[in-house]
Amino acid sequence: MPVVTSIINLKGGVGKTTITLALAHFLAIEHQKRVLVIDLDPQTNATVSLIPEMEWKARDESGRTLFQLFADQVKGTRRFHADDAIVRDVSNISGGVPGLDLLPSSLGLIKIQDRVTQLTDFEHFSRGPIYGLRDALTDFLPFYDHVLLDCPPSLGIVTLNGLAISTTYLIPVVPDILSVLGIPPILDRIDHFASSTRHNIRALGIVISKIRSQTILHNEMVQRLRDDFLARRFPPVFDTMIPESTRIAEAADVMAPVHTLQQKYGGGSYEYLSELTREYLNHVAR
Amino acid sequence: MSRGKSKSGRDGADAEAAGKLLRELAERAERDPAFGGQLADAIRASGLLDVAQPPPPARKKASKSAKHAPVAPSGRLLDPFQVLRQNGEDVLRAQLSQLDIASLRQIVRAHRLDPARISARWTATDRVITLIVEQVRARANLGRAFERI
Repeated sequence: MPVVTSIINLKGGVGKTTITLALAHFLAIEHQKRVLVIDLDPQTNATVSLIPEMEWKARDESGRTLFQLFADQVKGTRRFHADDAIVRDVSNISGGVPGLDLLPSSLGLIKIQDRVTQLTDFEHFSRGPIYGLRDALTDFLPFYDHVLLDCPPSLGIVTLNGLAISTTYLIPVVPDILSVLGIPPILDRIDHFASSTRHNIRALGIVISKIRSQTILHNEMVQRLRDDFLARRFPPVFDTMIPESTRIAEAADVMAPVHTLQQKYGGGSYEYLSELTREYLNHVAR
Repeated sequence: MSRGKSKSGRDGADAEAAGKLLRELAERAERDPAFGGQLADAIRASGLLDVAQPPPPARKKASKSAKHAPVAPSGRLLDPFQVLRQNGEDVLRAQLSQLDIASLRQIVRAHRLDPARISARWTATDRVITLIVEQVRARANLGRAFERI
C-alpha cells in the first residue's frame, strides 16, 4: 500500500500546495515513484497547477472531480468513478510526467460541503460520509507508491475524508507568530480523529516554508519550533527549509514551457526542494 | 515641541533606509546570480529605468501598414498584454513580427513570460513570437474557467 500523506495546516498561505506539488514532482521524476495528488482544497490551486484550468472546467462539468464524490454522498447517487476522475501523467514538464496523477478538486465543494457536514457525526465519526474518499479509491490506491493530499485550511468534512486514508501528515509552517499558533490545534484534532476512528496517523514533521532567513522573527520562530520538538510538544522540524522565492511561485504556472525540474523551479529552489524530498523519504522510512 | 520627526527628518530616514535596502539587495545579487537576474528583471519590468534609456531612434515615416507601431512613442517596450486587450491577437502577432529577436527577448524578460529562459537560445523570431502570444493569451484568460460558478 502507498504512503498516504496529508499536507495540512489550519492557516492559509503557508505553502501547503507548493510543498504538495514539489514533493509530487520530485518523487515522480527524481525517484521514479508513482504518485497521486489528491486536491482536497476547493480553491483548486493544486489542480490548476497540474492541468490547464479549461481542462479542469470540462472535467468538473462532467462529474469527473471530487465535487461529484461528495454530491453522491448528499444525493445518494453513484456517479463518481475514480478511474474517470483521475487525470494521468499531469504537469507542464515536457507535456506531462509519467507516473504523476491527479484527482482534481472543485470549487463546487464550497457549496456542497455544508450539506455533507450535516450528515456527519463529528464527535465519534461513527456515521456519515467520512469514508467516501476511502471507499471510492480502495481499488486505486495500491497502484501508487505515494499519495499526497493537499488539504484545505480547515478540519471540515473534506479534510477528514483525507485523514481517513492518510498514514502520515506533514505540517507546512511559515515561521511567524500566527502560523506557529495554529500547530497545537492541528495536532490535537488529528489525535482526536485518529483515536476516535482507531486509525493511526503519524506526524512526519513540520516543514518551514517561505522563510526569510534575514528576518529575526523567522529565525526565532524556527528555534522555538525546534525547542518544542525537543520538549516533545511538536513533531520534528525538517532540516530543509524552503526560502521565499519568486521562482517557486512562478512554478505554479501550468502553461509555462519547461522540460526539467531545474527549469520549473530555478536552480536555487530546485536544490532546496530536491533535498526536502530526500528528507521526506527518510522520514517516511522511519 | 513637535511630537514626531520633521518632514525633512523623515525624508532623511526614508532615504537612509532605502539606501540600506538597496545596498543589501546589491550584495545579495552579487552573491546569488539567480537572485540578481530576478532583481534585474523586476527593475526592468517596473519601468524605473525608463528615464535612463536613450531616446528612441528616429522612426521612418509611418506607412499605412505600420499604423500599429511596435514601439510606443515614448520608446517604451511594447506591452503585449495591452495590445492583445485593445487590438486582439492578430495585431499583436503583426506588431511582434516587426521586432528583432533582441526586442522580443526583452519583452519575454520584462513580463517574465519564460522564467526558465528556455527561449534564450532560440534564434527564430517566429518561435519567440509564438511563445509570447501563447503566454500572454494564457495569462489574459487566467481565471476564466472559474467565472459564473
